[in-house]
Amino acid sequence: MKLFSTALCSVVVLATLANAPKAYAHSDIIASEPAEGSVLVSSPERISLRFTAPMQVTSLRLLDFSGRERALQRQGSRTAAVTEAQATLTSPLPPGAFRIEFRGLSADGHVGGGAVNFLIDPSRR
Amino acid sequence: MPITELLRATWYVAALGGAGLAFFFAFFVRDLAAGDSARLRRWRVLAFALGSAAAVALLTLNVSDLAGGSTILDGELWEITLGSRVGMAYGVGLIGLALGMAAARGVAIVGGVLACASFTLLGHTPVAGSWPLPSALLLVHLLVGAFWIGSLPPLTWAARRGGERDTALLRDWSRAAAWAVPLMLAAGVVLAWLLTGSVANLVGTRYGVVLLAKATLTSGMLALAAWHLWRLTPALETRKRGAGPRLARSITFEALIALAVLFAAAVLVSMPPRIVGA
Repeated sequence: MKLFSTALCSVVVLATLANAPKAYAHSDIIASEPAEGSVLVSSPERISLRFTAPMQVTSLRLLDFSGRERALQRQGSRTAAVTEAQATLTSPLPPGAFRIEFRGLSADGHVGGGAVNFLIDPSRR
Repeated sequence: MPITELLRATWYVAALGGAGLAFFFAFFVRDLAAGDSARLRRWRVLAFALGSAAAVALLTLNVSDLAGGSTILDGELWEITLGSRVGMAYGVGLIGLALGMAAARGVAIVGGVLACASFTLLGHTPVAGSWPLPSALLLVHLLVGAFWIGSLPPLTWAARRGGERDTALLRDWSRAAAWAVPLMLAAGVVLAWLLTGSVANLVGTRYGVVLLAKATLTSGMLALAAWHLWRLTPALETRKRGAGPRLARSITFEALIALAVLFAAAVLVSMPPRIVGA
């Protein structure tokens, strides 16, 4: 009887554990500003990444073609799950190739990330 | 061989093995020979220690992954990780393993169930369609799988000794496994179908290929279990010379296959079960 009640308790614990995980979706990037592969004639003032589902963006970096990191001013907290991560540039970027790299945690527990490449070329004006 | 998959497999061995040792203790403690109860406790402590080390290493890797090249000593990243489903899953699993070390049978069972249930918080089942069926099937699959895997060390001890009490224990365990293992297989097959969704996904994706390899290894374990039940255990009962050590060696081999099954499971969790875009 004691064993039976324990087993029953375990099932109840389990039911509590498995709480509505349908809401815990996996998040992927769907759009960005600047867009992947875009060519800009001047430096953007801000960058933004949009996701399919809320994500805690823990790392957001802007690198130039030599791999040197450019300063960004993040908007909002890293701990907040967002569908759009934004940052403003602290100084205008010179012409050249750039890469936005991000890492983050989806609500389903998966760590993911990606990169967006863009080019600044004033001669395209 | 990726370190993450090795560490995850280590976590599976510790969490499911520890849960199984707890179940074996709870259901068969009265049948254990003198000394085996203490030995079983030491193995449960070992499972907890191994699980703790693997969980800390996996959480550190998770933080490192989130850091994207910056320091892993960032407190906020640890806060995010520990507050996520990843942190919750390892936390629940470790609480389960801690309870699984208890001397009270009921507490040990609760611990074993918690350790198995922690697996439903991560991986493919929480986000699969027709939830909660996939999570429930996974739990059934893991409860029986853990019971099977965790029983192998104490069954080896019993087979090696080969006394009357040990033979009775082997018989009783086989009787319990005879109804539990088909349940595990049925849950696994339905779960595989729910996750892959088609024969094309089963044979046309890396997930499907690893899953089929896991099923083949499990079939090997089943074949050995059947050989033990119908050949080696009766030989032990009739006191045939060398039957005990032969059975013990065979169960050890079964345990080695079980390790390969757990490694396959650790690889599966990081692969998409369906063709992308399908």
